[in-house]
Amino acid sequence: MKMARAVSIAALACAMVWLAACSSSGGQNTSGNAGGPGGAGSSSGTGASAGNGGNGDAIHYDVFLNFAAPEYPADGGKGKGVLLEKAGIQGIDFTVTLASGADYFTKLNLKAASGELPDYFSVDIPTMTRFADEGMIRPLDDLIDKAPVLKSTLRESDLEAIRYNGKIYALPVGYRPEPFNGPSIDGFLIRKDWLANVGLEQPKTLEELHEVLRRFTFDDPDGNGVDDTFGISAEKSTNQYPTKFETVFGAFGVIPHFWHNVDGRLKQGWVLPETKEALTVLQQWYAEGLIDPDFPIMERKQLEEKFINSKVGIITASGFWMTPAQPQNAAIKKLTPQAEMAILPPPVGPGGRSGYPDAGPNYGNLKALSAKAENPEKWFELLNWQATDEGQFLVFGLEGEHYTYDREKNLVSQKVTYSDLYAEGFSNPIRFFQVVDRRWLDNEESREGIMIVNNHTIENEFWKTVPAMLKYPDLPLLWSEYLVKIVTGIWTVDKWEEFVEKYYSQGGKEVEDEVNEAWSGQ
Amino acid sequence: MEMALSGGLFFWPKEFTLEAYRVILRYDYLWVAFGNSAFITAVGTVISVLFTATTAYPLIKKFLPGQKTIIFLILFTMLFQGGLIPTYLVVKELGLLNSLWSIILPTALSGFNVVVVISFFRTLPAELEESAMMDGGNPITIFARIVIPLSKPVLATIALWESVNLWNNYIFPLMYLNDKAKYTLPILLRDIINGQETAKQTGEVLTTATESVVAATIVMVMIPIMLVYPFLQTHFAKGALVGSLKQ
Repeated sequence: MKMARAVSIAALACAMVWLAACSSSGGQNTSGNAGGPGGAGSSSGTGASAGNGGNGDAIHYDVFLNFAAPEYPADGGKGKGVLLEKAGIQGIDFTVTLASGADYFTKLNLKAASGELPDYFSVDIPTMTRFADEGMIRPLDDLIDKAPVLKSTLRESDLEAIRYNGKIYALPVGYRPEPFNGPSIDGFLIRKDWLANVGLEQPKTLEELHEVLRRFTFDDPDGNGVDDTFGISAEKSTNQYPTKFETVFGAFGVIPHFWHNVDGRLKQGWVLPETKEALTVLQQWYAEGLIDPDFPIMERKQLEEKFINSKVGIITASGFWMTPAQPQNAAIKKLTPQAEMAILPPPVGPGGRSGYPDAGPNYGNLKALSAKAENPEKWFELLNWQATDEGQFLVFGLEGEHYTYDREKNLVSQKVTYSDLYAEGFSNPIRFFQVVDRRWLDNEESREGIMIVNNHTIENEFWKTVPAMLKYPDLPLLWSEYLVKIVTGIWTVDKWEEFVEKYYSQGGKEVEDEVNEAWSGQ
Repeated sequence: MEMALSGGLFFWPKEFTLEAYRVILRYDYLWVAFGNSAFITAVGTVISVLFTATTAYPLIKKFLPGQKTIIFLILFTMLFQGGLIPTYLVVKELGLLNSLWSIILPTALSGFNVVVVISFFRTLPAELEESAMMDGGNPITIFARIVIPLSKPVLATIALWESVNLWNNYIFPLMYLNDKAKYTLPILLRDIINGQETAKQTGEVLTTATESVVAATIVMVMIPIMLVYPFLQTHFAKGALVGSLKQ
């Protein structure tokens, strides 16, 4: 009896759920019809365009970007008007909505699932491939071809890396031609004043670097009379960046997690014999006590603290550090007023090779166009204008009011903070097509440092993800484990051969085959 | 701010600065978000407590037809939810998108809270209500004048849970509110923190350390709810039926 009652209650509950679902989908239809001509008024997009009254016939683009600018005004502020006026493109209008981080994607998926996909929005590679498979976003090849200025700023390798099913579904960032506007910014950051203290020149080769590290470790380079320094340190491995001390591997011509072309077949750097040579060097350095033993568990913040506190002489960091206005620079100068820094050219190995890892496509900043977007050519006219010299300046606001430009030095001096720019609706929130522009860098050393990094890169032949990589996500971890244990001397360098075997038997074979298949198809 | 970047461990603060607070207080939308959060928390808590109490009260009456079924349906929602996207569609169809009510109404009645209040109401002696009935009270006056005052502790507990939940609510505002003028504090603060991180990575010039701003934003969100807490806290300690009935 009790059982029967429970069953009937459950049945009732199911029926209610079903009824609720029906009425909800019914409601969707009616509101969809009603919302068509008049504008439902529930989404911010329609609300804002209605508010613009006079611009009633303009094509309205609903833009949704993954960016955090809490100051950005809801109505687009002054920046919106300036952009539309300067670009001189008639009959368009836009609203920008921002969200940031992982939550951006939660919200994007909700919008997509409820049929409110924005017209132009940030994506990452997995979202891009999914939306492309579902036909929700539009291939951009023809539009890019019709936007010559925009096209000229794009890197061919970036486009190659995001090409999916032979088409480009998302717009990467562009780069200005100056070398300090290249994609890579991270290199070996060295304490130049320490070099002077121990009486050495900037190291050019791996051997000279070895000598520098030895002196940095044992010769009290900071002159405090205490043996408390290490030559070099690094932060702990992550799945995305499984290798530490890449530049030492680079001196042998490989970057362990990059794909290298070996006689027409792509192989990951860590299976190549050059990796073993680099491991030998690192193990020796560690045994001599030149490498900070904390590196396998170091957080980025701790690493920067060690450098700022004059405990390490070399870390991998960006060229921005030399700019006095940067907080890290100010922090070092406060503790050690005579501190000087420089980005080293990558040290040359015994075989004459060297290089920093290429930064690769900026996956964090891809933008896609909805298949339903009205008149996409018109939108690309605007993007093309943003790629022009005049358009690029909009990231700094208005000349005279927000910045001054010194043509001679090619230097942009900003009078206001980004926060103020965002509050007026300028800069990144309306930078629908981003061209990397670091002309605000007023420090010659910083500019030079970034230039050095970009002039000495080792390329990755294959940036994409193949299904096998997702199937065997632990391969980079396997490498990290061997890297740490071999460098710290727990295992001998010969253990590297065991790693190669394990790598191939635990899925590396499949990954390599798939990568080569995809690569030869390019 | 240089000190925050050089890190390390020390007992006494090395310098005092309000720079991080100045950075946050510059955001105009902070006050808008404060207002929105306060509105959601105040109105949401009142509505939630009212609905919970009025739902729970009839359900303790054995003579109510279908009483067990209704309780079962309430329990059912505790185990099975609609999921993110269906919930979003319901909110959208109700026309609540971009309205502060979208944060208040969908969660106004929580199954768990109803169960807690029901079990509390059950401990109230039926004799109390009978004697009130004798004295000429109708069910509404009994509920308002006898049951509610006796249930202050449990209602304060529910109010505290709800207000903390609403104040901290992050995912609903994120999903339902698009308009800047409707942002709530957690969303805005998340944006401020993310903005600081981005600025640091892209080399934008900052006037303070990211960590300091993060810490200052956390303090800004915490203070108001911390001020409310002690006042509600006292109710937890109070005995339920002290002085109302001698047995």
